This record gives sequence, C-alpha cells and structure tokens, in this order.
Amino acid sequence: MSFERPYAGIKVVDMSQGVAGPYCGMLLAQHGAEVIKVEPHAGDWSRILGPSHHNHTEFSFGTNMGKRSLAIDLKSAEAPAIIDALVGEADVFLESFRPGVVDRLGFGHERLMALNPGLIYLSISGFGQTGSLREKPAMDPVLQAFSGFMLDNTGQDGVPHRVNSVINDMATALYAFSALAPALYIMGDGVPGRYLDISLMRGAANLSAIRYMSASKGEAVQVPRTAPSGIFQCAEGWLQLVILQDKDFDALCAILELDDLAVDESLRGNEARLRQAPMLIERVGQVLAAKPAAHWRDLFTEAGLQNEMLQDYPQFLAHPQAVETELFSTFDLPGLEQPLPVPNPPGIPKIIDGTPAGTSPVTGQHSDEILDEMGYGAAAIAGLRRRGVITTWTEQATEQGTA
Amino acid sequence: MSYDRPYEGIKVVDLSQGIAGPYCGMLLAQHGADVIKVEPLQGDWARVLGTPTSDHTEFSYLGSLGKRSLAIDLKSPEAPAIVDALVAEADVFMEGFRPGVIDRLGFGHERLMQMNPNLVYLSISGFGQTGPMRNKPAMDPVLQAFTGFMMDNKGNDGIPHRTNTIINDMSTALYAFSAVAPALHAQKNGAGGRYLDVSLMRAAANFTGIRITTASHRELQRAGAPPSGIHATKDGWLQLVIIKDSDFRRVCELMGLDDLKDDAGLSGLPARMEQGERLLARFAPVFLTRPASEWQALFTEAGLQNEVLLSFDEFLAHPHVGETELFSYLELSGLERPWPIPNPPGLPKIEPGTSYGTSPFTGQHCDEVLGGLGYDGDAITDMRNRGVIRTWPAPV
Repeated sequence: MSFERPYAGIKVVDMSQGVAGPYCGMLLAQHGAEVIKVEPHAGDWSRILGPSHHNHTEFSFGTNMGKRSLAIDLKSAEAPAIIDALVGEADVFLESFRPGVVDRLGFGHERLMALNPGLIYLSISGFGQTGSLREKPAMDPVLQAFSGFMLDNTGQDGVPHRVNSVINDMATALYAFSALAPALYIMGDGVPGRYLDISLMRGAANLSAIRYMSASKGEAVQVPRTAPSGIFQCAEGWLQLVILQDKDFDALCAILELDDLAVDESLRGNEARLRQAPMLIERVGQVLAAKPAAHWRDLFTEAGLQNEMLQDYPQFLAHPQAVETELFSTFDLPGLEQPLPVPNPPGIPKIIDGTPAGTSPVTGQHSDEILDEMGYGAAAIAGLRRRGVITTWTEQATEQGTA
Repeated sequence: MSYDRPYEGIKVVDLSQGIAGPYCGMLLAQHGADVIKVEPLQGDWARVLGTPTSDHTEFSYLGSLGKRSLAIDLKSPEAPAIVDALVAEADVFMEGFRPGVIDRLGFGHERLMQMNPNLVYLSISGFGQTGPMRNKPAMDPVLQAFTGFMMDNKGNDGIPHRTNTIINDMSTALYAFSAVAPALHAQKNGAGGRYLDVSLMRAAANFTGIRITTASHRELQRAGAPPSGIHATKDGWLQLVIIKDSDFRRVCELMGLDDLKDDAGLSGLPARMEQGERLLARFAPVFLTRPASEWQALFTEAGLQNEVLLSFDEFLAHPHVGETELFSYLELSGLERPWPIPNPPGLPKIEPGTSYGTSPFTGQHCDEVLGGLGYDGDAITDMRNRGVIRTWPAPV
C-alpha cells in the first residue's frame, strides 16, 4: 500500500474506448492501479479522432496515460481464454460497447461475474443499459443536445451551440470514478462484486443538476445569479466580473464613478440588483468599453473584486499561476515539434514524462509483455501474432500507420 | 458496512460553502458517510445564491442532501472545543475558505492533522494554496474566463460567453471526490491521513484538458467536422455527429447531396474539417426543408448519431428519462413543483423523506450533534441564547 498510489495492487481490465471510459481508467491508473487497455488491432477509435501523431490524438493521449496496451482481435478463437485469464485476476472490468454488444462478444457481466464473483464490472454507454433509447449510439454532442444543455448554451445571437470541451464525457468519467471508488473501498470486506451501469445521459444530467432545478422553478432563463455580473467587452479584450455583495457593488461604483447608482437605495442587495440587471449591465458596460480589459482588471483586483480577463488556452498555459502550481506536465511525442501539455489531476503526484505513469501506450505496445506475464512463451506469442490474434507495436508499424 | 452505502461509518466535518466543496461532501453522504455541515449562523452563502425557498436555493439544496447541519459562530470562544471534538472523531475534514483564512480561524491542516493523524484534510479554493494568485477569490465564471473556456465558447456572432451550468464547480467537486476516495482507501489500509489541495483552477484545466492540449500545438477549430454540428431545421435544431466516411456517404445520400458523397476529397475527418464552410453551405439549406423530427427519424433509422435539441422541460418529460429513473423528485415547502434531482450513478435512487433525500436547514441538527458530543440541554440552550449556535427553526 503506497501513500501516494492508494490503488497499487488493484488490477483493471479496460475494454472501453473513446473518452468517458478510458479517462476513468486513466484516473485509476494514476492512483496506482495496474490498468490493461484491451483494444482492437485498429486501436481505440479515439486514436483517429482528428489528426494523429505517433498513434495518438489529443483524445487518446491523456486518457490512456499510465496504462499498458494489449491489442487483440476479440472475435478470434484464442481471445476468450486470454481475456478470461485476465479477468480471473482482475478487480475491475470496464467496457463501453453499445448495450448488448459485449454480451455477444462473450464478455457480458453475468458470465464474467460468475467467473470472478468479486469483480466490479462497469459499463459505460450513451443512454444506459435500460430504457427505450438504450441501443442508440451517443457521443458527447448528442447528449449536449438531448439533455437541454445546448439550448441553454445559446449565444446572444439566439443560436444554440455546443461546448467544444467534451464536458459530458469528462463528467461521465468522473461520476464513473465516484461510483467505482466506494465499491473498491469495501471490496474484500465480504461483499460480492458489483455491476455499475453508467451513462453519458446520467453524467450530463448530474452535471447540470442545478439548471434543472432552476428550470422547474421557472428561473432557467435568469442567466445571471448576481448583478451587475457577466462578460463585458472592453476597448481591448473581454472581462468577466462578479458582483455579489453590497460592498463589491460600492467598490465598483466608486471605480467607475457611477455615483448615482452608488446612492440608489433601490440597488441595495443582490436580489434588488438582479431585478435591474439589464440597466446595470448597460451602465457598467458603457464605462468598461472605454478602456482595455487589463486596465480594469488591475483596478478591480486591487479593490478585491472578483474579475478576470478572458484568456485563450495558450495564455492560460503560460500564466504564472499555472506555471508555479505545476498545473501541466509536458510530454514529448515523436513527430511533434512542441511537447504536449496534459493537466495534472488533483490528489496524485505530478505526472512525469517517461515514467510508467507518464506514458500513454500506442496500440499493442505491451501485448508481448502482458502475455509473457500470463505464462505464454515466446513461441506461443509469435504464433498468436502470426495468426492475427494480437498485434505488437513496433516503431515501423506505427510510422506506416500514420503515413 | 453496507453494500449500497460503502462509506457508512465514515465521519466528515464539512466547513465548505458554495457548491464545489459541498457537492463533494454530498457525494460522500450519499455513499453513506455521516457528514456534518458546519456553517455560520446566517448559513452557507449558497443559501442566498438566487431566490431562496425555505432557507434553500438550488445550490444549497443539492449541495447539502443527506447532511446534518450545525450552525455555529466559529469566532466564539466555545467553537474551538466543539469543532475539535468533532474533528477528533472524523475521517475527513473539508474547508473552502480563501487560503490562509482557515489558519486564522484556528482550524488549519497542520494543527488538526497533528490532533488527528488519520485525518484526510481537503482544502478547496479558487486558484490553489500556492502561487501568486492564491489569495484571489474565484467563483465558477471567473475560472471559465481564466482557463480559456469562455473564449472557446463563442457564439456564431463571435461573442464569448459563459455556460449557465457551473461546470467548474461541479467538476471541482468530482475531482475532489476522486482525490478523497483513494485517500480514504489508503487511510483504511493504514497509510494515515493526507492533505489535499484541490482548486477550481486545477479542476477546470483537467476538465477541459483536451482542448488545452489541442490548442497548444495547432489552431483550434470548432469541435466536430462538418456536417457534424447543430443545424437549423424547418422547426427546431438538430445535432448530427458524423465520424466515419461510411456515415458521411450515408448522410449525403439521405439528403440528396450525391456529388458530395462521391467526392474523394472529402474522405476522412481532417479533410471535412478543412472544407467545413463549403460543406455547411451545402447542408444548411437542405436541413431547412424538413422539421427536426423528420430528420431525426430518417437519421436514426440509418444508424446515424443525431438528436433534436431539447429544452430542459422536454428532457425531463422524455420517456427514456422516466424509464431509467434518472431523476428523483423532492418536495420543499414553498416550491410549487417538487425539485427534480438527478440520481448520481452507482447509488440507490434518492428517496423523498429519507435522510438521503433531505437537505438540512441552517442549524437543523445542532441539538443532535452537540448532544452526541455530550452537551446537555441546558448547555445547548445557553449557547443558543448567547449566539454561539443557531438552531432551526428559531430565528437568528
């Protein structure tokens, strides 16, 4: 038991692909679990979500950090014996096929949990394992549309749009982890294994929980919670401002020389200001538009007001606060001019390039090693490769693959 | 030790306010932990974030489900003895003050972990406990601005905006949980306590990490290569996802765009990304010819990922949402309609009227919690009269 890697000794067989399942598996790996990524010869489909470098995209790289990869044809005659042997030793099994598919492949939870009664078996799907939509495929944007999120994320031009971040995949991964961790906590205390049905739909619904509650009160369109808060266009750049308490409002009025607002008794208290939000936003906006965002940021920060200039991602990466807190680790990838920044999750040691926890496998990178540990000899492994059951990564194969 | 509630027996002292800390504590409570919410006499500030109903807003209600509330003036002379007694028995301590404040209050991690070496001590802050910006206050929108998220969340009009969902608070809560849970695992196995510094900034960076990684080495494009995206139809909006070439050819066929279907220059996502504007110009007018539901039926039949954009109400009313018991509905005095609360994965359905389906009022459990520490009725009344604690429903 390691203080820094509490899940050392826990074994995970991870058949999930995409982002939601793999990211959950990555967190398990970073917390010390031994995670074997089982993927098809063509690799996890996240490896082709956009331009790829050295068998990786932005989607596949961070989400597989710290795992080992076994590339195997699950429909081959030899696969069941290999997978069953891995599952026999495993604590956790992850899969993200469409409901029904993993059963047809022969690795459904009923059979595997009969084989290993202590197994925690986690299925990740778009709409869940039950209900009328269960067989529908669904990636992140489908759930942004279905859950009400996109209509809520409408621009000032009245056009709804998608958030570019895969927020539903990420939330689902984190909720999956939040379901797994308590199950792992009591594993071995005489409780049997557990089947967990996690869906992007459930992840999305929980992420936006507060919006549904507001909508049911008829307040979903009340975008601001505080006033005058929001995004303001300045002479150069944009500024986000939050005004909650009276003392914040007083300080704001003083800086912007809005003396009539400062003495207006009908503007005391957040609730009162919310009622006059459009007027307040217009008045504040007029003043802010006259000077650059950086000018206002400095004045507001000095006065203790919550505000921030809108940065783009590269500005954020380069910000002293991000640098000094070691928010990102960087990784060299063959073929990339610049190292790839990947954020360090909280509660785990900083991820270091080149260490096992800081390596994201290419497809089949560890096929030989894993089979060797299972007792397959070199000749048997070569035979499996020749018959197309497994692939083993080589530098040449990867270069050909990306050519 | 319960199968359904693995954290039964774990004790949590939760001084956090807002939503990031409280929601993490709520998940611990839902998984079985005994979570005592320690809040000021006027209540957690989440209780006034919007229009309150019966001492609750959406924020405070969700963030406190399944907890017990002790309302106490932390600056009163009696407070240290009471909080220390709770901490001595606790497995987890949570706080969300600005860095430095908790030390001045006398409950910093060094002192508390010395007193209870097995304690998992979690601090939640905007920018973390170190670095030049550590003392800056920061709520969700500040982090949406700081991390690059807002600039990436621009409308077609080029104006950046905030998502109404507080994605940074929620993801911070989830990342905090993902740090606390393994620490509890280690604690159970004899590793002792642990100090955890979790910030909204770190969570936000991780939550949107894929975009940040992408932006670091190539020009950011709107996610999804056309014809993936949101399309205006005759009567509403439709989201379509096209990844594979075979799906692209299929959608061209279904929409009568046969020349695009046979265009070899449009195979592969990168090619379609590059020619996105041309593709959108061709698809947009066709989408406008039929209602969203007709396109949906056609695409779904062909096995293509698509969905009509639903409003929150339409989503809540969808048969699939009902069939999967996605939401529980909890009553609160003053609400016209019960509140829809999504059931988190891996947990039993939240049932109204149970302790898991109840969110405490400010100080609702003072008597019970202090009684558990050995304070008798007279002592509790005395503290109430002197303004050390506030019990519900007595006025402040």
